[in-house]
Amino acid sequence: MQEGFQFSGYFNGKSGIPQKTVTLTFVISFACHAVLIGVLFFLPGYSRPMFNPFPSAINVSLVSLPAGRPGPPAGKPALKKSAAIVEKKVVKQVPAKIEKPKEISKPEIKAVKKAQEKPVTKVSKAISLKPKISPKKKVESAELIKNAVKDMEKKVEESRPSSVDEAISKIRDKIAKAEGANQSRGLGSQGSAIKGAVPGISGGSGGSNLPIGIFDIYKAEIFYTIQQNWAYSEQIGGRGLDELAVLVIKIMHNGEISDIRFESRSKNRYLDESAYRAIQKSNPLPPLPEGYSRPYYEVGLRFGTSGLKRN
Amino acid sequence: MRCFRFFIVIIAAVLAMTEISFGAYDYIDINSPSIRKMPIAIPLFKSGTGTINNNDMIFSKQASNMLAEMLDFTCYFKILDRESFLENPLKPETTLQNINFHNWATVGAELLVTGKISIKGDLLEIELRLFDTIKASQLIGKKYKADAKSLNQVIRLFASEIVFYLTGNRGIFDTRIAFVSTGSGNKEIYICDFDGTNVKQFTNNKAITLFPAWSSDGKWIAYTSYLKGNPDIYIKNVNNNSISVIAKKGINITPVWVPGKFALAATLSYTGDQDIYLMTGTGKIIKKLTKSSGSDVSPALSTDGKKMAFVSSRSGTPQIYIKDLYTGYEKRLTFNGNYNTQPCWSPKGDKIVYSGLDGGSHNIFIIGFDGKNPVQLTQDTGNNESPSWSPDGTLIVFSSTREGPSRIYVMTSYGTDQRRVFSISGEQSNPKWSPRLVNK
Repeated sequence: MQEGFQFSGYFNGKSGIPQKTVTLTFVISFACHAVLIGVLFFLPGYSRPMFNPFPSAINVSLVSLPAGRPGPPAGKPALKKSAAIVEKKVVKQVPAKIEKPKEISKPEIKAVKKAQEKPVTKVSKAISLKPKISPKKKVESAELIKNAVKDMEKKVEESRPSSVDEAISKIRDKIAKAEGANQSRGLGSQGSAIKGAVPGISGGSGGSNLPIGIFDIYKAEIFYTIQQNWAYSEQIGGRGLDELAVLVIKIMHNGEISDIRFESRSKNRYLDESAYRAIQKSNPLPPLPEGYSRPYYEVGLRFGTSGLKRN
Repeated sequence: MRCFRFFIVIIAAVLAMTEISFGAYDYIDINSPSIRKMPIAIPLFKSGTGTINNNDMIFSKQASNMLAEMLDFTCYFKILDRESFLENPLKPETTLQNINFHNWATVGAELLVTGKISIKGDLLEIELRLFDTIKASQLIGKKYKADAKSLNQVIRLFASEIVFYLTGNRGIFDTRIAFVSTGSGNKEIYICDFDGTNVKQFTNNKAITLFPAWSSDGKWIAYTSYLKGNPDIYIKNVNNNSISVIAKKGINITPVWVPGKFALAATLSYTGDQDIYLMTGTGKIIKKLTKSSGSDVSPALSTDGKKMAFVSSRSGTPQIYIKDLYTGYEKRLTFNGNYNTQPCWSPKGDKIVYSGLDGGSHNIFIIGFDGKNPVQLTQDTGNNESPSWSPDGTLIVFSSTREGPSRIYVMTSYGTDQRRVFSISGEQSNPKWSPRLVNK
């Protein structure tokens, strides 16, 4: 009681200190704290700590390979062969000419356009802006994860030791258990298993009231769609493993990306622009999960080239 | 009390704001892009006169094809086939307001080049524009006026603008390649443009002539020739053909220019031992750079002139060593294989490309200047030798016998897109890429 009386006494002048002084002190203190908090949380480039009541691991590494592979003798680094040799590319015998993809006559192309199908070329994967009127392919979340696992299987197919097969089957078990648990619980740590199946997905549900697992599946869809549309020429951009471009996008309920902005740029303009282009080509994304309460979903995308792969 | 309550309300509001900002959005890491070239569409250029006549069509086709070939050579781009375009080739649109970017994006183009050509007598006026089809924005717009015969130069300038926009450097359009060819019956030095066009014979010694080396300003080529029966070093001006000779007793071979100076490093044997010497362009010895008992040949200087890679047989077999020219410290670089020669520094100074004997044939290898991460770039394709970096560090030119006779090939610095540059009579070898020749 005495303490409470003494505290209130500061404001009504009973403490002996002028009320104006006390008020001014508090106002200045409050302003300083507000500025500090504002600088900490709203300064561009600051990676905000995630206040997540259910912290879960950001699980990037999917496969554990056996340790203790014999390395080169000291002083003699192991010789690698360039990807060109591994792929056994055919050497062109004449000065490079313009490549000819499959011929598609214009009437055919227009008919195909009307049917709202993508034109297919022999050499390159056609990058088409998804027409807004075209029907969207509904991708089942479990199928998406299976596709992601299949892609990863292809990557390690050639020289896959048995421990990798075991690792993949363990992950499949985890996903199966997670899907089973999802049906009964809907909250909690099972989201981490799904997150572990697709690299790069960080924790949290963006503040929604949806179960964490469902939103992680949606984030996996975003990851998969944008990565598929992200093309990078290492000849132009190089292999700057430390470079990172961070963009923030706002996704409306219908999947439309209403805003794209840079949170931080890398020093590589080509990397930045290719990332921006990848997002634009991915517009619109799949619709937000039903039940998402906010008007839009804002997510940060960190683009880096540490996992460059060849087509 | 009112002040106190007001203060509590303010604190609660601030906490509420911070509550919102905590975890305001999640992050997704995307780090595995698909590696592919940038698809670019280069339709036929438009006639500036508004009419379509033979002359306009000829220039239009020539200019657009020239640009496509130049950009294709860089290995940055995938040039899309005009057959797949949705635009009417007889009515091309060239400006931001009129272009249907959706059509271009649909066929897979991320970049689009449009052009408008007007020919009035011998005068050529050409407008060239580069667009981003995804963002639907113009990136570059240039207008050139030149002699009609300078069309190639104009196209090179614009190609250079495109590459500069994307990469920050001007590319290889202002460069040339010197090489050795036996087309005349003897090994002579020839020069061609970066893409193998415009081949010209540079020496006419009617004797074995080898090891061309460009000075860093591109005005001089040093080479070794048996013109007088002895391997002597000749220094010839590219523009006015003036020549000076370094003819010491014994061999004078594998010259290389000191960056930014009229000075050379070369192997001389006038003392009896084959060592590398630093000398002026007139042959005055400045310093002896190597002193080992074995043969030291093929010096290669880094672009900052501080380090020298060279070949030495001091360990018993030809291997590549690196010497710090300031401290004098030498260390061995190559340990794989028994025959590693012809080192060449990357323009950035972080890597060395060289030729190594592997399984009975010579192949091109690349290694970090610290000896780390050696990578083999060619294999099972005959003998591949004499690698030389382009001045922007993106391409490597080399000689290869994969088709039988030795020819000049080029590949990216990652070992991809290996292709022959040109084909002329005789056999070609010893290519050396020039620096950027801005005022040729």
